[in-house]
Amino acid sequence: MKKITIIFRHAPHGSAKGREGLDFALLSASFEQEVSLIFADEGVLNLIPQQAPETIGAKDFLAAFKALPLYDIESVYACQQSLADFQLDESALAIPLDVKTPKEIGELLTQADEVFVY
Amino acid sequence: MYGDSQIPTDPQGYLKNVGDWNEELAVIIAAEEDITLTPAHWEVVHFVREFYMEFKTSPAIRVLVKAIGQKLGTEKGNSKYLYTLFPLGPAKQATKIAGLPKPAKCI
Amino acid sequence: MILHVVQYSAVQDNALATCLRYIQPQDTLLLIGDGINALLLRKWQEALHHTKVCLLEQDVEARGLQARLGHYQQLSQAEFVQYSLTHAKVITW
Repeated sequence: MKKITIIFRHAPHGSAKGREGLDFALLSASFEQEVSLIFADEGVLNLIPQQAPETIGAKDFLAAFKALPLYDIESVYACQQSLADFQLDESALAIPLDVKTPKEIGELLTQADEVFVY
Repeated sequence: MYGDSQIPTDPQGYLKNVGDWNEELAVIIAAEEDITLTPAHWEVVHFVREFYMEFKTSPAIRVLVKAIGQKLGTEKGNSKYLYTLFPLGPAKQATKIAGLPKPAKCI
Repeated sequence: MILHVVQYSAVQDNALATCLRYIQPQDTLLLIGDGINALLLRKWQEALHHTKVCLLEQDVEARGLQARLGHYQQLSQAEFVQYSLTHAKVITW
């Protein structure tokens, strides 16, 4: 079992990156890898609640973030600095997660076996 | 294509549009899979459909087992029970009968 | 010890900025492709002052930047492969 860390650094909807990253996360978890997710930079915009991507003809892939516990993906983090940059309220995000400082995220990356950036 | 109606499917028989599904269609798809739907089957079919409506993704087998266990109890949330109902793979067959896209990892 | 690889222009993409936010002192930053152009900008020269930076030699030469960037460490393709093996992991931003 490998420790796989997936970083989301792009905003949702404008590109397929977020959906690809989430698909990869769910697939890795299905193969019983130890998956953790980190939302960084513009990737924190995936965490805004009550998005309606279908309004602009995009697929609602964000709904699957709510299924993470069923996939045994329990390690979910967001960058404190990035949340602050976009003025997002830590207590009003779409899914439960732990907020980490950039330094702590750097340490998480060191501990992972593989890191993939989306 | 199923029955007399022109309902688009992928080459493996999964519906292209989840909105095309109804219970009569489920019976037809199940028949193609050599499954006669009992109340126990319906319970799982409705469960995976609700799962899809909530999370917009088809559950893989491990997730299906876990989610059913949480909602319907462990006597149903185990792969032995689900394989009894859907011998060729619960995730694969139940999602197909429920009119959902094929799960990413399919056993 | 991580080898961070940035291939996108720092003007068009935030990859370099995001990478620098999380890089650890023992890590190495490898700039390839348009990622190299960042070193022509004073802002990034200063931001990278305390980071171990290397560049892919062929990408520097292709861009005619050898005279300006010659003082940075440069890797051949073979050395790039070697670096990916000597670091614990590679993160491609």
